[in-house]
Amino acid sequence: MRKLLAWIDEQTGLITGIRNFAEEPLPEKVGWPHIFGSLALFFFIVQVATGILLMAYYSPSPDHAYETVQYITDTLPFGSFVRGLHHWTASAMMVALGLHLIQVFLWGAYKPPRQIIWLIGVGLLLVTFGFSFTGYLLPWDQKAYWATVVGTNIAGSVPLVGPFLRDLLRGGSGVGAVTLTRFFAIHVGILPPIIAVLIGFHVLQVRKKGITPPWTRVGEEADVPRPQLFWPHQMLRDAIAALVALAVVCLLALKFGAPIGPLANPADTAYTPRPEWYFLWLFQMLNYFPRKWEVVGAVVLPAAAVILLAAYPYLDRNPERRIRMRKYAILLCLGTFAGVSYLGVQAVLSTPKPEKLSPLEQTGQKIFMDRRCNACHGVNGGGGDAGADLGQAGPFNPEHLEALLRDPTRFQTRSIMPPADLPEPKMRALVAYLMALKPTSTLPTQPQTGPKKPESHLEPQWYINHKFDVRKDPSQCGKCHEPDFCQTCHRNHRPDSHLDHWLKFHFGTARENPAYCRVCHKDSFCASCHKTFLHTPDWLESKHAAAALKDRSMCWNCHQQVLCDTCHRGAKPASHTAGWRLRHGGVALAGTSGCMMCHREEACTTCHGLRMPHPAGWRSKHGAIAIQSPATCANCHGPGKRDTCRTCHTGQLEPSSHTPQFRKSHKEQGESQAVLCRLCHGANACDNCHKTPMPHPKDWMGTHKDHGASFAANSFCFYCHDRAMCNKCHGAQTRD
Amino acid sequence: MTTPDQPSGPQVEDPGRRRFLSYWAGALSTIVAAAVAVPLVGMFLAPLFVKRKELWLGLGRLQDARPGVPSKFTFSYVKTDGWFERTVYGTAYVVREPSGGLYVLSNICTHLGCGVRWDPARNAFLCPCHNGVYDRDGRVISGPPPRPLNRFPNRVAAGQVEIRVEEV
Repeated sequence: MRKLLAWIDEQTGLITGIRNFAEEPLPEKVGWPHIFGSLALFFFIVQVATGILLMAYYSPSPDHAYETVQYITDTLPFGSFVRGLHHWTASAMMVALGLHLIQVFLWGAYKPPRQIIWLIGVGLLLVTFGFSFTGYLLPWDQKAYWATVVGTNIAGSVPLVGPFLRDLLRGGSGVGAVTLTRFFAIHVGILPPIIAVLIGFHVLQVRKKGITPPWTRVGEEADVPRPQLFWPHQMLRDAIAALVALAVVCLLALKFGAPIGPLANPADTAYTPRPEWYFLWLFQMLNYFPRKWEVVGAVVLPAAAVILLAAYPYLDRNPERRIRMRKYAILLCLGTFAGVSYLGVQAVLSTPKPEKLSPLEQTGQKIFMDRRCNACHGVNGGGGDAGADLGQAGPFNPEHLEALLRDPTRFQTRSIMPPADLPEPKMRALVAYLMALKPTSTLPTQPQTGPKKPESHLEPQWYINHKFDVRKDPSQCGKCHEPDFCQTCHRNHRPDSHLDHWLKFHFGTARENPAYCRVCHKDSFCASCHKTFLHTPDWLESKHAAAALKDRSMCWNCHQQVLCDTCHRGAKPASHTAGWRLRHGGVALAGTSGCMMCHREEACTTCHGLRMPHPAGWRSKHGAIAIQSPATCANCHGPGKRDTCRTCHTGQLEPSSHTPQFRKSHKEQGESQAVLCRLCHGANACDNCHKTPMPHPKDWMGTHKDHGASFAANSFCFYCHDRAMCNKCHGAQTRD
Repeated sequence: MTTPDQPSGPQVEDPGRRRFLSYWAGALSTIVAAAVAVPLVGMFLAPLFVKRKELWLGLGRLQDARPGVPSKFTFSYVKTDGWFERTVYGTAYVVREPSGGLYVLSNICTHLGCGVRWDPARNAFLCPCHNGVYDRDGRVISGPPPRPLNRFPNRVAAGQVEIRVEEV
């Protein structure tokens, strides 16, 4: 090892060079206060290392930036820690730079001959701010998005060139994909070489001009003894400081990780944009300037401060480094520090506190999230957009709200909202939460229970577009959702394909890609119909007849009724020989099940023009039809066919007894042979004519008025009786 | 103007103490560097240790595979690839032996991983890259492949051929 190093040194002079560089003699009293520069450098190295590793998993595109950062944070081993390290080290680097700046100022280290070191230092500070500003956008969450919107707008308020500057930063007029890629390029490609060159220059200048001996009198600097070397004396202090600082940053990274807010969403009106703490004082300062003077707070003052800071070594002509000889400089330093701190604290105080929900409302919010109400209903832009945005929808009427939740179709028949079947206390909590929603409310980022949603579900318009994902890969849905899940919405709102006559056409889809069906339906769903109707290979030969007999309407779901004819017309059953038409009646009377194998039930009616076989009681009813359409009867009846009218109605069509006087004289026959009358006239023949029960019931004398008997001339009484009959009891006063 | 580059000479204390301090400065620096490096290396190597899942995938209906001739079936599954969900596609040849046996061959050439295809005219699997030739059972007939074609573990459930695939 030693030999190898010696060889390298002999060939390159590298080792000697490094040794000479590191073994810089340092003045006495250089010690712990001087660690901050090294500390800042250490933090920068950590940033480079963690940044490069994060880059291995990051994708700078709005499509994926947030997902990749989530993946790093939630899934990747060490990911959350490394991201946390990058995040907290950025803040720590700001602290180290601030302390370094103050230390250098108090020790008067910017004074000749070291002005240029200070100047480069100011450049380093600005580049670090640039890193912070560009790095902020990369996770593409709400904070990132809004900080960038505000930050670039501040650049836009520069007089004359402002709009150009803003668009240059954004890569266009809005904050979007191009902004993200260019911020990424600036953060990882443009700023690092700049800062590397500046750091190198800064350190070399310090090495060349030496670390400032503390607080010497003017002109006595050279006489300060130099009892220590940078390596190892100061390096040991630096290493200890780095170790402690690293421990602190690691603890912060482990305990808090790096924050990731909700996905960047320009529509979210409830989000309160606030920059990172080291920009807060700038942010706060804008509050003190009216619109017209905003440019002063946003551009002029910061620019003036930077110029003053950079030029300070050249403005401060006081050669003294001892603090008590530099009253004004020290006052300026303290004043600036106090002012910046004040503005920062004011900004923190003015940040609105997140809303406090009562315990009942918190329970309601949990129910809201657990039931995934947020999947459709957003709150002020956060959440889904299929339903109404509840942050903007109020105020509600609690009873109305509960009724709506319990039965959404009551108010809107085509509503696809699943009913919330909650016990009373839970419903009360949910209603309380919904009542508490305001235009400033926000949703928690993730449901407290259940699996996390995939990124696709958070895209705008997901509820409208999810069918395309289903078509692309139907098996995807089944990874998380039971098929029944689809039915929560789709029972009221069927997919586009399931329109009219879908049942007729579903066969093709089901056969070619059953996975599509399985998205929403369980396999057993098919069996509910196809158990008896599954068209197996032996279906036609041996099974279809029985199935068709069982429920013919199932066939008509898919097939036209002429389908039977396509086979059976050319191959009629053996029975259907010549003359079958006349003979089929007897077969049909014995039972129509055989007929129904091929014929529809209506087939008889279609041919016969009336219901066949003749229903019970036909004998008494056939008269009317025979008179109205004798042709219908003639289909089957008549000479050379079946029974003719004369079969019963021998001689005349009316029985021979029905002479013209029969009406007057039928009383006796009617009473003794009513059965015979009913043969032709039906069971109610008497009553139909007499308009009252015949023969008269037993208690007729007492009840005939109730049956409708009256003295009027058209009363049914006078069909048989004359008025004298009434007068027998009622006296002669009866009139019309 | 000072010249701090001049040798420090007698101003620096004895070499023993200096060696002691050097030792500690070096040791602490190494500890700090290691503390930063461990999570970084861990994060960089993490994807190598992701457990590969085994899946049973349905290929198709057994009756669609003609006996005696390798029949091509494609399969696909969705894989979580980092933050990404990706559909992985693959091809398998189902061979039904006249005796009733069944095996499923991978179409990945065992030489350098090209996709072999069944050529009915030559009654062999041909690799398009380096002229590897396999017979119907996947045994190497000629060319550079070192091993016969891989076989997927398979089973038949409800008329469906299923194979066990290790997630790529």
